[in-house]
Amino acid sequence: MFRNYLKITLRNLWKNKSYSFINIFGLAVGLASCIVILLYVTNELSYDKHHKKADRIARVASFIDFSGSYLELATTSAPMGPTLKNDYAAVEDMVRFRPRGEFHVRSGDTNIKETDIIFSDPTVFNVFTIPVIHGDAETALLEPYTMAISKSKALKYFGKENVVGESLLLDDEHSYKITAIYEDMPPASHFNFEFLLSMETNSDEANNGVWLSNNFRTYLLLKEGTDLKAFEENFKSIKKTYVEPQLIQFTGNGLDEFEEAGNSLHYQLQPLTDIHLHSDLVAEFKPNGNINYVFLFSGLAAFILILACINFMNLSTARSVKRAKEVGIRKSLGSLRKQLVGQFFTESMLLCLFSFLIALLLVELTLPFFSNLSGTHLVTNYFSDSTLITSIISIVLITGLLSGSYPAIMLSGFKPIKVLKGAFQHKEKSKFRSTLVVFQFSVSLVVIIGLLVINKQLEFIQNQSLGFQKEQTIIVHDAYMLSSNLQAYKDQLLNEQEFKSSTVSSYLPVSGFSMNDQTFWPKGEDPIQGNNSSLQVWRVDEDYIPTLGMEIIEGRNFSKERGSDGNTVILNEALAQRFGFEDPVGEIITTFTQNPDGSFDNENLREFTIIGIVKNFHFRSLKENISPLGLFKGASRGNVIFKIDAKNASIALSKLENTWTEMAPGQPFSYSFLDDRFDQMYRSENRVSNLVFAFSVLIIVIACLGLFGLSAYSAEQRTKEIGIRKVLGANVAGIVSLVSRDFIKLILISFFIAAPIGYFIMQKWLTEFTYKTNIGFDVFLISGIGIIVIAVITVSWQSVKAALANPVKSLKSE
Amino acid sequence: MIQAKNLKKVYSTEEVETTALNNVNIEIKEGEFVAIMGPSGCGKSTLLNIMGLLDNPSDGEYHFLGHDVSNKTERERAQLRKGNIGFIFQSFNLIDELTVFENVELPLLYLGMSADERKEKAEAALERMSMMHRRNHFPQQLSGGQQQRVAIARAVVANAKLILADEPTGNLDSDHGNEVMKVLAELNEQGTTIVMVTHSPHDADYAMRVIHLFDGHVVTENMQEGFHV
Repeated sequence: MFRNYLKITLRNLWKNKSYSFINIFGLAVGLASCIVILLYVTNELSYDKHHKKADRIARVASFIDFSGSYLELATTSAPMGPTLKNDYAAVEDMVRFRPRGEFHVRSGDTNIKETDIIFSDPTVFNVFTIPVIHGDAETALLEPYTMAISKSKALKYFGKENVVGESLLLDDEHSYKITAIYEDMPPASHFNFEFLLSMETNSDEANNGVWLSNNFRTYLLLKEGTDLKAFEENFKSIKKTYVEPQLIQFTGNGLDEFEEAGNSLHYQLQPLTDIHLHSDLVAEFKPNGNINYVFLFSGLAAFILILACINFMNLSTARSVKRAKEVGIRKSLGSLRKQLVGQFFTESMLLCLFSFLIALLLVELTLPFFSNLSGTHLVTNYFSDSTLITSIISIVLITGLLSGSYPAIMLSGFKPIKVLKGAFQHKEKSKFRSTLVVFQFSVSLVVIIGLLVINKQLEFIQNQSLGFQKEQTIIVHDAYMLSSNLQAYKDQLLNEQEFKSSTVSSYLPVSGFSMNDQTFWPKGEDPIQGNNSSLQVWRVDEDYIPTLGMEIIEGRNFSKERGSDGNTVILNEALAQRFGFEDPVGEIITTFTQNPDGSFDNENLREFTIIGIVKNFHFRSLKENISPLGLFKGASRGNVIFKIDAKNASIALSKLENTWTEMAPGQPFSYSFLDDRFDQMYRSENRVSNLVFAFSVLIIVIACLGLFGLSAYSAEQRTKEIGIRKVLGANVAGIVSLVSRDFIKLILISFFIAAPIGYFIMQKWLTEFTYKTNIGFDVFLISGIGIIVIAVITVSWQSVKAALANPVKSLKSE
Repeated sequence: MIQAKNLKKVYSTEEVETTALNNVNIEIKEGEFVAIMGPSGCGKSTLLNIMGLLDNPSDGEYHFLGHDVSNKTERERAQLRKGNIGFIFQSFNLIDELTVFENVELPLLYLGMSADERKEKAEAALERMSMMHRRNHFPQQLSGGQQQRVAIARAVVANAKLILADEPTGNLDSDHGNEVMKVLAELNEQGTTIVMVTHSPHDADYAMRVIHLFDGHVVTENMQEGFHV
């Protein structure tokens, strides 16, 4: 019997090639999208799960609201970890990480810049699962100036794996002895360190006991059976025991007064496996994923598959007239209804299986593209994860059942006498098909609206007046490596015609560069209760403002004279407003000084005279408000920034590099363009935009395939009607509109369903941004007209064909 | 073989009720060849469908092979139909996607026979209809008469005791029509009971008995004087 079903299925597929193509290809695209998304979701959900004790590890995060700036930090203070381990039985172990930026690692004659390098407590190998291949994990990082490195770095620097006992020179200054080699950390990890330096090397800061400075990523390994929430509640008392005394020492006020003044401080534990998808704090190791995107893409994939299933159902039922005869014959020959149901399910399952095979091929073809778009590294290792393979199999089965269910039940229910008489009509069910078409196009429209709004917002960001000029600006990194040649480097290049101006600073108004927060208040006011503000302290030179194209709106820039302007500051408008100065220029602001170990000294205050106000410029993502910032004259030698002539970027670059090689021999030259760095801040939005674009194309293609099939069917069904109308004098245009009209009506209904839903969803998305575009009328106009045009083209393909057909033929065949 | 008592069939749509059959009493014995005649819409096909267990009467009794089937479910009717009743339609109703052989084999599949048995029986049936040479063709590749012979092969393949033919020559020219009628007469001679709906007095001549229906009533039942062989 199965062979009989198989034959019928295959011959039907072959006979109706275009229907088969729509069905199989549509389902294949749907399944492929689902598989790709499943791979993506599986990868996202797998982060940090490779650590054997993952379920017992949590990171301590700090939430600080102090003098107008709210910070959500992935870091906490140096004593937090050791104190928790000491005071609480529930803490089995802890490890702290302290990044110190990039290091230059000496390899022969040259220095290589390494970014994944971090100071770590020796307990790192106990808390996390980082298999040590050579050396002793227990003792590896106990001594100062010792390091553990990854296998691939061992191979890179020494050409062999076991390099325990060898040394590496960092920043041409300190030699670190290698005490352990570990397996490379897997990519699905929220940190990927290549070098672990012993925390003992940095012991001054690590043991400083300062609770008010937060520079350490601290991870706790809790004892088996510890309730995270209960423990979190329990360790709140450390605020009273440890933080408050230092707060009193620093500000003269206790926690209660601190909180009464509108400030707050609390610590929270983040389960390790939640970090990748649920945490987006300041000072994450790398940009994390986002659970919302996991949902978004899962949703889109599900929709694509549902749309493909709908096509299947629609086309199968539309073709029911043709299949009805077969049902009648089979029934009259003694087939039971359940056998027919079985037959149609066999058919849909077979079809689904074909589609699945094609889908696997499509996945192989498109995965690199998707990996690239989504910024993840995905591989088709289906059997690596039992959940993955079961999910895929279930999806295929469910798709087969879902798409087969309606045709199976409907077709098998036909009364044989009716269908065999030939006078078989199936009018009432077209309502069901219409509903499905409306659903398909509503989904398509919502996605199109989403896409348009995302692009509009990205464009808005691009065109937003930033308060600085990001174009034609090259950042040469690690300027300090030029050491005494820095000024000469700058001067020599400025003599060349390609370079217009230049400045030296570690601070730039894009992410990825230094940030430095400090509390200030107007002179004479109370630092805690009074009118204070936390502000960005940026040390710049007198060329900073002109080179970056910022605008002084009051007062003056720093002067060129050496040694002058030592205690002066240029504020941004935001800060000037916050302090409420009527005439800010000439006013004085005050701050604490800081001891070498990072603690604050509240005895010695520093004063700065305001000499100018710079027009507000965006220095963080446009998702955030412009916060208070002060430019201070001072040396910060992180980068040399050049404003160049637009036409000669490549010449400028080669000059920059050649001069660098001359003046800083053996040091790596690296640069970036300011506008690229700016775009990077919106990388996740750009990625989403690209992915949504890819998916919306798929959704529209599938919806149109379905519409194409249905209109073909409709034209076919109305062949006789069209023939009669033509005989009676109807012209081609009239007939095209006759056949197209019904479909256009459905698209219009879809539009009125989709528009409010799309508006609502995208309005919500936009709330993420402080600076945002409006969802204008244009979005709806473009999406509405767009979809109607696409639908009309799709439908008229068939209706024109029907209209041009010779009526004699169609009438004769009846 | 068939006893119908006071058969009534009413079709109702939202607005109209149509009585297709009204108090029809018919008895057909094994080995008979009965033609049912009457104008369009007189209820011929309805009667045939009820006889063929494709439909239930609205009222009255219907006994088939000694079973009272007037109120059986579709499932039970399907069981009884299998192997006992063969259908022949005006429009042949062969499945286009199956070959001649596969079409003929189909009823045997539903009877759950083994492949060997199916092959043997289907080939025998095709042989009987002189269609063996066409066994691997698809229906569209055959002439109307040939298609109908395949349909007859399918009707007899399971040794059905009763063959119901709904205007079997309606779509055929007279040569092919005669051919089909001869085949039916032969089958009848070999013992198969045949009930045939027809418009054609010529075809009806092949039958032993003609039942005339008009507006759902049996008007006359004539034994044929002498019939063609």
